[in-house]
Amino acid sequence: MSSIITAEGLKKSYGNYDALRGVDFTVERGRIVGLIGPNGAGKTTALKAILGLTTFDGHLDVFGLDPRNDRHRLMQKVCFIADVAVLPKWMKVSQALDFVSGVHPRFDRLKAESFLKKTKIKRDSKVGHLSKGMVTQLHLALVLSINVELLVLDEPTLGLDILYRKEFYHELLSEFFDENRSIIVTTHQVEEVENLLTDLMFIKDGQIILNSSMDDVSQRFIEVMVSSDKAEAAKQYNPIAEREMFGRKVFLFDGIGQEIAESLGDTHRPSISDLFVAKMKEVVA
Amino acid sequence: MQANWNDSQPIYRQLRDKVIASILDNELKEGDALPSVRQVSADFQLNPITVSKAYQELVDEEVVEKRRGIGMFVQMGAREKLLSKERHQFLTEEWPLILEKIERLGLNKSDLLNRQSNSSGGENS
Amino acid sequence: MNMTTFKTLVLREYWENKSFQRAPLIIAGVIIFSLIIGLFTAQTFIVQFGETINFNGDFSSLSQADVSELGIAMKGFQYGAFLAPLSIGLLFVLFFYVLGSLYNERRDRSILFWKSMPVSDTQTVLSKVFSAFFVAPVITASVAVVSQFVGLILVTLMVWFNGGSAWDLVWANSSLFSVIFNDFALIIVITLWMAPVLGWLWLVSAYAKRAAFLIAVFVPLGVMLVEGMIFHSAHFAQLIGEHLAQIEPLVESAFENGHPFGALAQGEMWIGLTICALCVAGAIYIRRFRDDSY
Repeated sequence: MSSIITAEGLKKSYGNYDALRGVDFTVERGRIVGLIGPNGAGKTTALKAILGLTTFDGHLDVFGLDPRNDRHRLMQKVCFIADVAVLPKWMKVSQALDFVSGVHPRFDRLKAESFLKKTKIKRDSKVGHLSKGMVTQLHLALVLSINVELLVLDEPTLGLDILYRKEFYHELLSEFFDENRSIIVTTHQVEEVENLLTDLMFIKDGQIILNSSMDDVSQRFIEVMVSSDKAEAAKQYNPIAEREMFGRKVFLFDGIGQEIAESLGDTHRPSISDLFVAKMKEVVA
Repeated sequence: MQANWNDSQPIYRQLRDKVIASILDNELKEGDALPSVRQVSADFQLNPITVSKAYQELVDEEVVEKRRGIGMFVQMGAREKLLSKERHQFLTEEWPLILEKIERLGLNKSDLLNRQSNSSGGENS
Repeated sequence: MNMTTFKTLVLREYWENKSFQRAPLIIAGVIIFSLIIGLFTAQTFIVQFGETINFNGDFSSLSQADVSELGIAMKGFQYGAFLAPLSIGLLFVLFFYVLGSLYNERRDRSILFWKSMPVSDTQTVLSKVFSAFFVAPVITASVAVVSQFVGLILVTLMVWFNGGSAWDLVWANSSLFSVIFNDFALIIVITLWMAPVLGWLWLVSAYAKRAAFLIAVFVPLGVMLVEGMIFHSAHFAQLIGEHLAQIEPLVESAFENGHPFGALAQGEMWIGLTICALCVAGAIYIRRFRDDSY
């Protein structure tokens, strides 16, 4: 099995509320997957299932393990940052390094120390006394020094200022990612990750409404700025979204092909946010 | 690093164009190493597959060569090759359009050239 | 179970809970301080534990009977002045430690960090059980040993001051080694005796969404109340009361026999440990499958 994650009919209900309604997806090695969806859509539930933090129905396979039974074994190959505010406040930086060294067989302490040297973090400081950005740097230094094959990031840059956010993704790409590892990231700052994703998954109301590689997305979805005389003709192709800009109509098409698109007007790549909004508005059959 | 990618072209194509522009401007000289895929992806916050694709196109066009285990290097003669390609492109596609426009505006070709050499007379180096 | 992992987990409990050290040190400090004041301002040497010995200044002439009484008094002194308050201190420390051990991490969400490490819930909870039954008691007992020693030195000084022979009066009868042994053994046995209470606290700690303290205290009280109102009996309260009341005889027997292991022969001890084990298993189960803290 080359897939890192295989989900089939993955379901989770909390009482009467269906958080996930039987979703299917796979995640391959060497990919950076963006899981995008509004609050309550089911993305956190999906991540929790993958990380062994909740029970579920259906089939879910992560590195060949069932996360419900083998969470701690899974954590040898997977690491996650659920929120950068979760490092224990009483812990000193040196204790955090000692702790991870003592419990994680794949932790490279020297690497973590070299990351920390680039920051202003002092070894004797307690986590509770560090600024939010520095806590992120610390958490990231720890995580990037663990030789895991899958990294799951749930809104990792929430509440951070732009400098830390840029540094976060920079370190991720230069120090961690390679063709054997994968990253799953959820975020509301879609623009921030737009260009670093290799795969895109949109989730809404517990269902996956888009799941494809960025290559396919760029072939399928085309935004066309249409001159008024072509507007009616354009509508025949069933655009999935429509807006106006400087008096001209901009249509978003799914799968009409580059040639037809160019015949209607100026073509552009849609931003992921626009694509997201368009797919969200679609009525799911 | 800030890069303003436009939305008309795929990013890998734009990245390739950036490299080509650097070579033409002599910022990247023949025999120079290109920054690693990892470096570029981190600096521009792009996924490495996009960067690899751009680099691959450059390899296919024989502008850049891959040396196993070392990295990507600007090929000898790349600049000439690119320059002649750009010249060809200019002469066959862009120049005729400019000529058309000059005609359309009713301007005189030799006047234009004289005006140009006068104004840049003392500035050329 | 991976030993390095377990050791690291126990170390983490130690780092997080400064009270393991601070509480006994503070208590011992207060006792020694008041002892200093007491011994040198009063000429009366009063020993708790039911023995009162008055000396009016002159140690140089004591009868043989006095001397043997003094031996008992010295032993009593060490236990009463030091071990008793330190044990009580330990029980308070353990109460709050155990109650918070599976609760605090959910309240501040640090559980999301702990769960991102390759450490099973079983290992995690067992490291806390080990800390409660062994690490904290051993630290307290160590502080007891040292502070008892200091206490004996202070008494020695007072005796010298008043012209007596410290060796005969103080040290020869202090049963020092027996006391030191009992410091550790007794504290651990008392902690084991409290196992069912700790088990209950672990369950509450794992389960409570908020107000863990209130639940831990008021649920048992509530049970007693309900039993009283519906059945007009007080079996539950009696059960708890009797169990706790056994501590005093336990201590006395240790005092007499030089060791507290008689308690291990009592069925009640093993029932208590079994209840604790079941509670701990429950706590592990809850921590594994709990889903609502994030």
